[in-house]
Amino acid sequence: MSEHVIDWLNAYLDGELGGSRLHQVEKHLESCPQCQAELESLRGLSALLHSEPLPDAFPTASRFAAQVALRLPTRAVPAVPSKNRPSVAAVVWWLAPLGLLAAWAFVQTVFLLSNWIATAGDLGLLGGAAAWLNANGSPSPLPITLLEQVGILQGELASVWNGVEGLLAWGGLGQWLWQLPIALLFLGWLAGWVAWRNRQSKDRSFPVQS
Amino acid sequence: MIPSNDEAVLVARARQGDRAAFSELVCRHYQGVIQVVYRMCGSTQLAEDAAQETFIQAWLKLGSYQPRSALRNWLYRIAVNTALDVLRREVRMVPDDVEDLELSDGQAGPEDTALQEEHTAIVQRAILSLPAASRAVLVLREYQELSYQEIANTLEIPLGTVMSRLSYARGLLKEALAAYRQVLLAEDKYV
Repeated sequence: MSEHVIDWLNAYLDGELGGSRLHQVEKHLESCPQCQAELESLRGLSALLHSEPLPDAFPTASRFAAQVALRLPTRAVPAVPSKNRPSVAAVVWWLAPLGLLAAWAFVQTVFLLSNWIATAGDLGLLGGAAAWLNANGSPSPLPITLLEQVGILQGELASVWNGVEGLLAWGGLGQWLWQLPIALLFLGWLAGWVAWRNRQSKDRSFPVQS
Repeated sequence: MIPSNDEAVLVARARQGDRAAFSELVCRHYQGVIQVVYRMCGSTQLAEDAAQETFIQAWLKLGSYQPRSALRNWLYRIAVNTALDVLRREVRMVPDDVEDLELSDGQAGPEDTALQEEHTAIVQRAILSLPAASRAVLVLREYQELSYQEIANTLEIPLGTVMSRLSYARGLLKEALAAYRQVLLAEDKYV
Protein backbone atom coordinates (compact mmCIF):
# COMPACT_ATOMS: atom_id res chain seq x y z
CA MET A 1 0.00 0.00 0.00
CA SER A 2 1.41 3.38 -0.94
CA GLU A 3 2.32 5.97 1.65
CA HIS A 4 -0.47 8.24 2.88
CA VAL A 5 -0.65 11.64 1.21
CA ILE A 6 -2.18 13.56 4.10
CA ASP A 7 0.70 16.06 4.03
CA TRP A 8 -0.22 16.99 0.45
CA LEU A 9 -3.98 17.22 0.84
CA ASN A 10 -4.01 20.91 1.69
CA ALA A 11 -2.07 21.72 -1.47
CA TYR A 12 -4.24 19.33 -3.47
CA LEU A 13 -7.39 21.01 -2.20
CA ASP A 14 -5.99 24.43 -3.11
CA GLY A 15 -5.02 23.35 -6.62
CA GLU A 16 -1.32 23.87 -5.96
CA LEU A 17 -0.13 20.45 -7.05
CA GLY A 18 1.02 19.53 -10.50
CA GLY A 19 2.86 16.93 -12.49
CA SER A 20 3.83 13.67 -10.88
CA ARG A 21 2.87 14.77 -7.37
CA LEU A 22 -0.71 15.50 -8.46
CA HIS A 23 -0.92 12.15 -10.18
CA GLN A 24 0.45 10.39 -7.11
CA VAL A 25 -2.08 12.02 -4.79
CA GLU A 26 -5.04 11.38 -7.10
CA LYS A 27 -4.05 7.77 -7.56
CA HIS A 28 -3.66 7.28 -3.82
CA LEU A 29 -7.02 8.88 -3.07
CA GLU A 30 -8.75 6.35 -5.30
CA SER A 31 -7.97 3.58 -2.85
CA CYS A 32 -7.37 5.15 0.57
CA PRO A 33 -10.47 5.77 2.71
CA GLN A 34 -8.42 7.52 5.39
CA CYS A 35 -7.03 10.15 3.05
CA GLN A 36 -10.42 10.50 1.37
CA ALA A 37 -11.99 11.22 4.73
CA GLU A 38 -9.31 13.76 5.54
CA LEU A 39 -9.85 15.48 2.19
CA GLU A 40 -13.59 15.65 2.77
CA SER A 41 -12.95 17.07 6.20
CA LEU A 42 -10.82 19.82 4.68
CA ARG A 43 -13.48 20.53 2.05
CA GLY A 44 -16.10 20.76 4.75
CA LEU A 45 -14.00 23.16 6.75
CA SER A 46 -13.45 25.40 3.74
CA ALA A 47 -17.18 25.37 2.98
CA LEU A 48 -17.94 26.28 6.57
CA LEU A 49 -15.53 29.20 6.49
CA HIS A 50 -17.11 30.45 3.27
CA SER A 51 -20.65 30.06 4.58
CA GLU A 52 -20.22 33.09 6.82
CA PRO A 53 -20.54 36.19 4.64
CA LEU A 54 -19.34 39.66 5.48
CA PRO A 55 -21.73 41.67 7.64
CA ASP A 56 -23.84 44.29 5.90
CA ALA A 57 -22.73 46.94 8.38
CA PHE A 58 -19.83 48.08 6.25
CA PRO A 59 -20.27 51.24 4.16
CA THR A 60 -20.30 51.20 0.39
CA ALA A 61 -17.03 51.54 -1.47
CA SER A 62 -17.68 55.12 -2.56
CA ARG A 63 -18.70 56.22 0.91
CA PHE A 64 -15.69 54.51 2.42
CA ALA A 65 -13.40 56.17 -0.15
CA ALA A 66 -14.87 59.55 0.79
CA GLN A 67 -14.21 58.86 4.47
CA VAL A 68 -10.61 57.92 3.69
CA ALA A 69 -10.16 61.03 1.52
CA LEU A 70 -11.13 63.22 4.47
CA ARG A 71 -8.47 61.60 6.59
CA LEU A 72 -5.65 61.58 4.06
CA PRO A 73 -2.79 63.67 5.36
CA THR A 74 -1.22 66.26 3.12
CA ARG A 75 1.81 64.87 1.42
CA ALA A 76 4.42 67.59 1.00
CA VAL A 77 6.21 65.99 -1.91
CA PRO A 78 5.13 63.39 -4.44
CA ALA A 79 5.78 59.83 -3.38
CA VAL A 80 8.73 59.17 -5.66
CA PRO A 81 9.47 55.49 -5.91
CA SER A 82 12.36 54.69 -3.63
CA LYS A 83 15.08 52.59 -5.14
CA ASN A 84 16.01 49.45 -3.37
CA ARG A 85 19.54 50.09 -2.23
CA PRO A 86 21.66 47.09 -1.43
CA SER A 87 23.12 46.91 2.05
CA VAL A 88 26.80 47.55 2.70
CA ALA A 89 27.28 43.88 3.55
CA ALA A 90 25.74 42.84 0.24
CA VAL A 91 28.04 45.22 -1.67
CA VAL A 92 31.10 43.92 0.19
CA TRP A 93 30.00 40.33 -0.43
CA TRP A 94 29.70 40.79 -4.18
CA LEU A 95 32.92 42.84 -4.42
CA ALA A 96 34.92 40.21 -2.50
CA PRO A 97 35.71 38.00 -5.51
CA LEU A 98 36.77 41.07 -7.47
CA GLY A 99 39.07 42.03 -4.62
CA LEU A 100 40.56 38.56 -4.50
CA LEU A 101 41.07 38.62 -8.24
CA ALA A 102 42.78 41.97 -7.96
CA ALA A 103 45.03 40.66 -5.18
CA TRP A 104 45.94 37.60 -7.25
CA ALA A 105 46.70 39.77 -10.28
CA PHE A 106 48.86 42.04 -8.13
CA VAL A 107 50.87 39.13 -6.72
CA GLN A 108 51.28 37.60 -10.15
CA THR A 109 52.43 40.90 -11.58
CA VAL A 110 54.98 41.40 -8.84
CA PHE A 111 56.46 37.94 -9.35
CA LEU A 112 56.42 38.33 -13.12
CA LEU A 113 58.19 41.67 -13.00
CA SER A 114 60.72 40.29 -10.55
CA ASN A 115 61.50 37.39 -12.85
CA TRP A 116 61.73 39.63 -15.89
CA ILE A 117 64.10 42.04 -14.16
CA ALA A 118 66.19 39.20 -12.78
CA THR A 119 66.39 37.56 -16.20
CA ALA A 120 67.23 40.85 -17.86
CA GLY A 121 69.93 41.39 -15.28
CA ASP A 122 71.37 37.93 -15.88
CA LEU A 123 71.44 38.63 -19.61
CA GLY A 124 73.19 41.90 -18.98
CA LEU A 125 70.42 43.90 -20.57
CA LEU A 126 70.19 46.26 -17.64
CA GLY A 127 73.88 46.97 -17.36
CA GLY A 128 74.92 48.23 -13.98
CA ALA A 129 71.50 49.73 -13.21
CA ALA A 130 70.09 46.49 -11.84
CA ALA A 131 73.21 45.30 -10.09
CA TRP A 132 71.62 46.03 -6.74
CA LEU A 133 68.93 43.43 -7.47
CA ASN A 134 71.48 40.65 -7.54
CA ALA A 135 73.49 41.90 -4.61
CA ASN A 136 73.13 38.56 -2.81
CA GLY A 137 73.81 36.52 -5.89
CA SER A 138 70.24 35.29 -6.27
CA PRO A 139 67.11 37.04 -7.51
CA SER A 140 64.73 38.25 -4.80
CA PRO A 141 61.20 39.59 -5.03
CA LEU A 142 61.13 43.34 -5.44
CA PRO A 143 59.55 44.06 -2.05
CA ILE A 144 62.25 42.01 -0.26
CA THR A 145 65.01 43.74 -2.19
CA LEU A 146 63.59 47.10 -1.26
CA LEU A 147 63.53 46.07 2.41
CA GLU A 148 67.20 45.11 2.12
CA GLN A 149 68.12 48.34 0.45
CA VAL A 150 66.45 50.54 3.06
CA GLY A 151 68.15 48.58 5.83
CA ILE A 152 65.13 46.87 7.38
CA LEU A 153 66.13 43.36 6.39
CA GLN A 154 69.62 43.09 7.97
CA GLY A 155 71.75 40.90 10.18
CA GLU A 156 70.07 37.81 11.63
CA LEU A 157 66.80 38.72 10.00
CA ALA A 158 68.53 38.72 6.64
CA SER A 159 70.09 35.32 7.38
CA VAL A 160 66.74 33.87 8.31
CA TRP A 161 65.23 35.32 5.19
CA ASN A 162 68.01 33.85 3.06
CA GLY A 163 67.19 30.41 4.44
CA VAL A 164 63.49 30.91 3.81
CA GLU A 165 64.22 32.31 0.41
CA GLY A 166 66.15 29.21 -0.51
CA LEU A 167 63.21 27.05 0.54
CA LEU A 168 60.71 29.23 -1.30
CA ALA A 169 62.83 29.18 -4.41
CA TRP A 170 62.55 25.39 -4.56
CA GLY A 171 60.17 24.50 -7.40
CA GLY A 172 58.59 28.00 -7.34
CA LEU A 173 57.10 27.21 -3.94
CA GLY A 174 57.10 30.82 -2.94
CA GLN A 175 54.86 31.86 -5.76
CA TRP A 176 52.38 29.09 -4.94
CA LEU A 177 52.31 30.00 -1.27
CA TRP A 178 51.24 33.53 -2.16
CA GLN A 179 48.45 32.23 -4.32
CA LEU A 180 47.21 29.56 -1.92
CA PRO A 181 45.46 31.82 0.61
CA ILE A 182 43.91 33.84 -2.19
CA ALA A 183 42.63 30.65 -3.78
CA LEU A 184 41.28 29.38 -0.45
CA LEU A 185 39.45 32.63 0.19
CA PHE A 186 37.90 32.53 -3.25
CA LEU A 187 36.82 28.91 -2.82
CA GLY A 188 35.31 29.83 0.52
CA TRP A 189 33.33 32.64 -1.08
CA LEU A 190 32.23 30.31 -3.86
CA ALA A 191 31.06 27.70 -1.35
CA GLY A 192 29.07 30.36 0.49
CA TRP A 193 27.43 31.50 -2.72
CA VAL A 194 26.48 27.93 -3.69
CA ALA A 195 25.03 27.31 -0.22
CA TRP A 196 23.00 30.51 -0.46
CA ARG A 197 21.69 29.58 -3.90
CA ASN A 198 20.75 26.09 -2.72
CA ARG A 199 18.84 27.55 0.21
CA GLN A 200 17.01 29.95 -2.09
CA SER A 201 16.01 27.17 -4.46
CA LYS A 202 14.98 24.89 -1.58
CA ASP A 203 12.58 27.54 -0.26
CA ARG A 204 11.00 27.74 -3.70
CA SER A 205 11.04 24.03 -4.50
CA PHE A 206 7.39 23.11 -4.48
CA PRO A 207 5.41 21.41 -7.16
CA VAL A 208 3.07 23.98 -8.65
CA GLN A 209 0.33 23.40 -11.08
CA SER A 210 1.66 23.73 -14.61
CA MET B 1 -14.14 60.66 -13.01
CA ILE B 2 -10.86 59.06 -13.90
CA PRO B 3 -11.01 58.11 -17.58
CA SER B 4 -8.22 55.54 -17.49
CA ASN B 5 -8.80 52.05 -16.16
CA ASP B 6 -5.12 51.25 -16.01
CA GLU B 7 -4.17 50.66 -12.42
CA ALA B 8 -0.56 51.58 -13.12
CA VAL B 9 -1.69 54.98 -14.38
CA LEU B 10 -3.78 55.48 -11.25
CA VAL B 11 -0.84 54.58 -9.04
CA ALA B 12 1.42 56.98 -10.92
CA ARG B 13 -1.13 59.77 -10.56
CA ALA B 14 -1.67 59.00 -6.90
CA ARG B 15 2.08 59.20 -6.35
CA GLN B 16 1.98 62.71 -7.75
CA GLY B 17 -0.65 63.63 -5.17
CA ASP B 18 -3.79 63.02 -7.22
CA ARG B 19 -6.35 62.24 -4.53
CA ALA B 20 -9.06 61.43 -7.03
CA ALA B 21 -6.84 58.73 -8.52
CA PHE B 22 -6.15 57.34 -5.06
CA SER B 23 -9.86 57.33 -4.25
CA GLU B 24 -10.42 55.25 -7.36
CA LEU B 25 -7.82 52.78 -6.13
CA VAL B 26 -9.54 52.68 -2.74
CA CYS B 27 -12.86 51.85 -4.38
CA ARG B 28 -11.28 49.09 -6.41
CA HIS B 29 -9.58 47.38 -3.49
CA TYR B 30 -12.00 48.19 -0.69
CA GLN B 31 -13.82 44.85 -0.71
CA GLY B 32 -10.64 42.80 -0.59
CA VAL B 33 -9.09 44.87 2.19
CA ILE B 34 -12.24 44.93 4.30
CA GLN B 35 -12.52 41.16 3.96
CA VAL B 36 -8.95 40.68 5.16
CA VAL B 37 -9.15 43.03 8.12
CA TYR B 38 -12.58 41.77 9.20
CA ARG B 39 -11.41 38.18 9.24
CA MET B 40 -8.28 39.22 11.11
CA CYS B 41 -10.10 41.40 13.67
CA GLY B 42 -13.50 39.73 14.00
CA SER B 43 -15.30 43.02 14.63
CA THR B 44 -16.95 45.35 12.11
CA GLN B 45 -15.90 48.48 13.97
CA LEU B 46 -12.30 47.38 14.35
CA ALA B 47 -12.27 46.22 10.74
CA GLU B 48 -13.52 49.55 9.44
CA ASP B 49 -10.91 51.40 11.48
CA ALA B 50 -8.20 49.04 10.28
CA ALA B 51 -9.34 49.39 6.66
CA GLN B 52 -9.19 53.17 6.82
CA GLU B 53 -5.78 53.02 8.46
CA THR B 54 -4.62 50.60 5.78
CA PHE B 55 -5.40 52.99 2.95
CA ILE B 56 -3.93 55.94 4.83
CA GLN B 57 -0.71 53.99 5.27
CA ALA B 58 -0.83 53.04 1.60
CA TRP B 59 -1.14 56.73 0.67
CA LEU B 60 1.87 57.61 2.80
CA LYS B 61 3.97 54.66 1.61
CA LEU B 62 3.02 54.67 -2.04
CA GLY B 63 6.60 55.55 -2.87
CA SER B 64 7.76 52.19 -1.57
CA TYR B 65 5.37 50.18 -3.71
CA GLN B 66 7.21 48.20 -6.37
CA PRO B 67 5.09 47.72 -9.53
CA ARG B 68 6.54 44.25 -10.12
CA SER B 69 4.14 42.95 -7.46
CA ALA B 70 0.36 43.27 -7.58
CA LEU B 71 -1.01 46.33 -5.79
CA ARG B 72 -3.65 44.13 -4.27
CA ASN B 73 -1.07 41.95 -2.53
CA TRP B 74 0.88 44.97 -1.36
CA LEU B 75 -2.30 46.38 0.19
CA TYR B 76 -3.08 43.04 1.85
CA ARG B 77 0.30 43.07 3.57
CA ILE B 78 -0.40 46.51 4.99
CA ALA B 79 -3.90 45.36 5.91
CA VAL B 80 -2.66 42.33 7.86
CA ASN B 81 -0.14 44.38 9.81
CA THR B 82 -2.66 47.15 10.47
CA ALA B 83 -5.29 44.68 11.66
CA LEU B 84 -2.83 43.18 14.11
CA ASP B 85 -1.91 46.65 15.36
CA VAL B 86 -5.58 47.49 15.86
CA LEU B 87 -6.13 44.26 17.78
CA ARG B 88 -3.19 44.96 20.07
CA ARG B 89 -4.69 48.33 20.94
CA GLU B 90 -8.00 46.73 21.88
CA VAL B 91 -8.54 45.13 25.29
CA ARG B 92 -11.31 42.93 24.03
CA MET B 93 -9.83 40.96 21.15
CA VAL B 94 -12.69 38.53 20.67
CA PRO B 95 -16.31 39.65 20.41
CA ASP B 96 -17.97 38.41 23.59
CA ASP B 97 -21.47 39.29 22.59
CA VAL B 98 -23.18 38.00 19.49
CA GLU B 99 -25.12 41.28 19.26
CA ASP B 100 -21.84 42.89 18.19
CA LEU B 101 -22.06 41.04 14.91
CA GLU B 102 -24.35 42.38 12.20
CA LEU B 103 -26.90 40.41 10.28
CA SER B 104 -26.03 39.21 6.82
CA ASP B 105 -29.64 38.71 5.70
CA GLY B 106 -32.13 41.39 6.68
CA GLN B 107 -35.04 39.32 5.46
CA ALA B 108 -34.56 36.49 7.95
CA GLY B 109 -36.88 35.99 10.87
CA PRO B 110 -35.81 36.39 14.48
CA GLU B 111 -34.90 32.74 14.98
CA ASP B 112 -32.90 32.56 11.79
CA THR B 113 -31.22 35.82 12.67
CA ALA B 114 -30.11 34.58 16.05
CA LEU B 115 -28.94 31.32 14.54
CA GLN B 116 -26.96 33.10 11.85
CA GLU B 117 -25.40 35.37 14.41
CA GLU B 118 -24.43 32.39 16.50
CA HIS B 119 -22.91 30.63 13.53
CA THR B 120 -20.97 33.72 12.58
CA ALA B 121 -19.74 34.25 16.11
CA ILE B 122 -18.59 30.65 16.48
CA VAL B 123 -16.68 30.62 13.21
CA GLN B 124 -15.15 34.04 13.72
CA ARG B 125 -14.15 33.21 17.28
CA ALA B 126 -12.41 30.07 16.03
CA ILE B 127 -10.51 32.10 13.42
CA LEU B 128 -9.49 34.65 16.03
CA SER B 129 -8.16 31.90 18.28
CA LEU B 130 -5.48 31.12 15.68
CA PRO B 131 -1.97 32.52 16.10
CA ALA B 132 -1.65 35.76 14.14
CA ALA B 133 0.86 34.37 11.64
CA SER B 134 -1.29 31.34 10.81
CA ARG B 135 -4.46 33.40 10.76
CA ALA B 136 -3.00 35.75 8.16
CA VAL B 137 -2.08 32.86 5.85
CA LEU B 138 -5.51 31.25 6.29
CA VAL B 139 -7.37 34.50 5.59
CA LEU B 140 -5.36 35.24 2.46
CA ARG B 141 -5.86 31.70 1.17
CA GLU B 142 -9.49 31.06 2.12
CA TYR B 143 -11.02 34.48 1.62
CA GLN B 144 -8.82 36.12 -0.99
CA GLU B 145 -7.85 32.91 -2.78
CA LEU B 146 -4.26 33.95 -3.19
CA SER B 147 -1.93 31.24 -4.44
CA TYR B 148 0.75 29.91 -2.11
CA GLN B 149 3.40 31.86 -4.00
CA GLU B 150 1.36 35.07 -3.80
CA ILE B 151 0.92 34.58 -0.06
CA ALA B 152 4.65 33.98 0.30
CA ASN B 153 5.41 37.16 -1.63
CA THR B 154 2.80 39.20 0.24
CA LEU B 155 3.91 38.18 3.71
CA GLU B 156 7.57 37.79 2.68
CA ILE B 157 7.87 34.28 4.03
CA PRO B 158 9.16 31.12 2.34
CA LEU B 159 6.79 28.91 0.41
CA GLY B 160 7.31 26.06 2.84
CA THR B 161 6.29 28.31 5.71
CA VAL B 162 3.04 29.14 3.92
CA MET B 163 2.27 25.44 3.62
CA SER B 164 3.07 24.63 7.22
CA ARG B 165 1.14 27.58 8.65
CA LEU B 166 -1.89 26.84 6.51
CA SER B 167 -1.86 23.20 7.51
CA TYR B 168 -1.51 24.18 11.15
CA ALA B 169 -4.34 26.72 10.92
CA ARG B 170 -6.73 24.28 9.29
CA GLY B 171 -5.84 21.61 11.82
CA LEU B 172 -6.60 23.96 14.71
CA LEU B 173 -9.86 25.09 13.13
CA LYS B 174 -11.00 21.53 12.62
CA GLU B 175 -10.45 20.84 16.29
CA ALA B 176 -12.07 24.10 17.41
CA LEU B 177 -15.10 23.60 15.19
CA ALA B 178 -15.42 19.84 15.62
CA ALA B 179 -18.40 20.02 17.95
CA TYR B 180 -20.02 22.78 15.90
CA ARG B 181 -19.65 20.77 12.73
CA GLN B 182 -21.50 17.88 14.37
CA VAL B 183 -24.39 20.23 15.11
CA LEU B 184 -24.40 21.41 11.52
CA LEU B 185 -24.35 17.83 10.30
CA ALA B 186 -27.41 17.16 12.39
CA GLU B 187 -29.01 20.26 10.86
CA ASP B 188 -27.99 19.02 7.42
CA LYS B 189 -26.01 22.20 6.75
CA TYR B 190 -22.53 20.71 6.73
CA VAL B 191 -21.19 19.28 3.50
